[in-house]
Amino acid sequence: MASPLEPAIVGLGLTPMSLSAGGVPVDLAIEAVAGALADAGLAPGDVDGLLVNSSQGVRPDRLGVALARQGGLGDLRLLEHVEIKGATAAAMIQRAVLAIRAGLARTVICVFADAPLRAGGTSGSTYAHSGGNDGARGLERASGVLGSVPTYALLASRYFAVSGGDPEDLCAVAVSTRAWALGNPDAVVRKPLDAEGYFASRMISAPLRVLDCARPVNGAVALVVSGEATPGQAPRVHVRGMGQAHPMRRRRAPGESWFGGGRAAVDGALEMAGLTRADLDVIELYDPFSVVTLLLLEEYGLVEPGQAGKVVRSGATAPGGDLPVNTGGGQLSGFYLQGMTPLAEAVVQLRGAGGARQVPGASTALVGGIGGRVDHHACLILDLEPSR
Amino acid sequence: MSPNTAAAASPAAAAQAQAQAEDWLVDAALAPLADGSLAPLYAGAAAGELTLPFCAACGLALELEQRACDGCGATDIRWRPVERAGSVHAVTLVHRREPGLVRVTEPYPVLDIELASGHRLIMTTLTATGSAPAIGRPVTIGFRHVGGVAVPAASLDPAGADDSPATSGTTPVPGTTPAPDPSAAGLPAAAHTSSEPEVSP
Repeated sequence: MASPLEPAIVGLGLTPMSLSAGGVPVDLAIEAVAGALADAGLAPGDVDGLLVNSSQGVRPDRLGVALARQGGLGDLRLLEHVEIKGATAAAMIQRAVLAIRAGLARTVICVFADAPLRAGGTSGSTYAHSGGNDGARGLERASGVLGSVPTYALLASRYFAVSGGDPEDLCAVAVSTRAWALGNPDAVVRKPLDAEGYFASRMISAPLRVLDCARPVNGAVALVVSGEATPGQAPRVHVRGMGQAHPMRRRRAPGESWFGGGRAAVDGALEMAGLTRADLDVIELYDPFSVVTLLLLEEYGLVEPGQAGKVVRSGATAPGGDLPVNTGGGQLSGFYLQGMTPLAEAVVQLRGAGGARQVPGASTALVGGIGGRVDHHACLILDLEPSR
Repeated sequence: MSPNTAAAASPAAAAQAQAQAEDWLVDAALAPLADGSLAPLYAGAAAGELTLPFCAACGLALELEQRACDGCGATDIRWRPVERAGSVHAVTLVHRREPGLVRVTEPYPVLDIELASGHRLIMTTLTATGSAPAIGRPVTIGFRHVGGVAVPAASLDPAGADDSPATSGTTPVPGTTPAPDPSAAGLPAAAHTSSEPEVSP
């Protein structure tokens, strides 16, 4: 039997976002789940679905479906480890909503946890040493492509060549995003940033500087999606639209290898919601690197092609602007918990719980998640109003 | 000395000498798996050929890890030598140098090369250079040797000489000058990550 209400996000739990080594994903996940359940006014026994999103790569302690047993949950009707890389968080919400609508579950927890920061080494060093020596990645690593910053630097290089953008545009993204982070107590970098500070920061892989890169943390985020009436005090955040796009861009001439093809995810989500881009009050995008914000603003049709840099430099995406983007400081200045970063911020904004960074009257949000080398897109249109 | 001319003069001796020499950029620990999924590429490279995959049925240039043709659906893949020429499709100068893996002390280039065959291949340069060539610049393809495995590399001299650093077409990016800051060695090279605290002026 289907649930009585339109499925909605009714619970949100965040651990503290730590820049220090410590914690293991399963414990962080359990902490976030407890927070989300408390927020929703639910007990573990009220839950009949669990969707798990773990970090990719070589992580012996990566989160898995064992969380259900370790975390003390009861019998479940839905339990899946969802995996489309960084696009997973938004995809989990899609999966939860569809399962509830289909009567396969009533109340579903969606959780992501990661602990990339280890004692005795940086996460950068960890990633530089991982990736293996087989396949295309092995060849790239033998060519000096360690970690993913050089890869996104190549993307930035190509994007600039096509769009006409330049490092001033990257600077504008970093500065705008930092301005939002100042108002977010969960953001890990809350020191004012101007262009001078940006250009003084270290170059990692040109044109990307350290301030163009996301800030990984040890932490977790959990959400509760339910079709039941729940006792939590926060307004229900409905999932009015959803879409995915997995463009099979080929690494060969004459097409672009590095971007393109993601717009269908947003078009589909808006069509499902019966809304247009003009209806969006806040835009929450997956921003592992500043250039991705520019890229997605154009790719998702939120600005005219080639205009992203100009729009961001105008201040439109910053606090007080008319196109608020990554209002919690994003992954650049807020915290990098992959797809959960934009998703959690969208829920906070629609609940009106954004405090100093609250966008007045925000009732409709776009959440855009990407995975791989911008190979996977999963989008949500969140709204305070139900779709039916 | 160009691998081309060396191979022409004495293929066996040249190959042996190159295989034993240390690469200019990375430690031998980063040697690719020569008999893995890209075995035809490495076998060809050892013989001085740039060998890449095509659909055996329709001839479409395929990605390195493709197992079925996206043009016609055929699963028969033929690796064959291609012209060792192309142009720069995208470029970065990598400043972060992972200790123990990267041997150079200055920033190094990583290029996405569009080959005449249509394939795009990521590689570095044949020899050390601190400048990044411009998008569109023509290159020829030679081979570096990492831990005894030949891997494609770009020569920035269209004539194929490998001893001339790129002197033109550097990327117009502020601050791309070599960064001797020792703390840069601790910078992240991460998958979506930079765990280091930012610069605190």
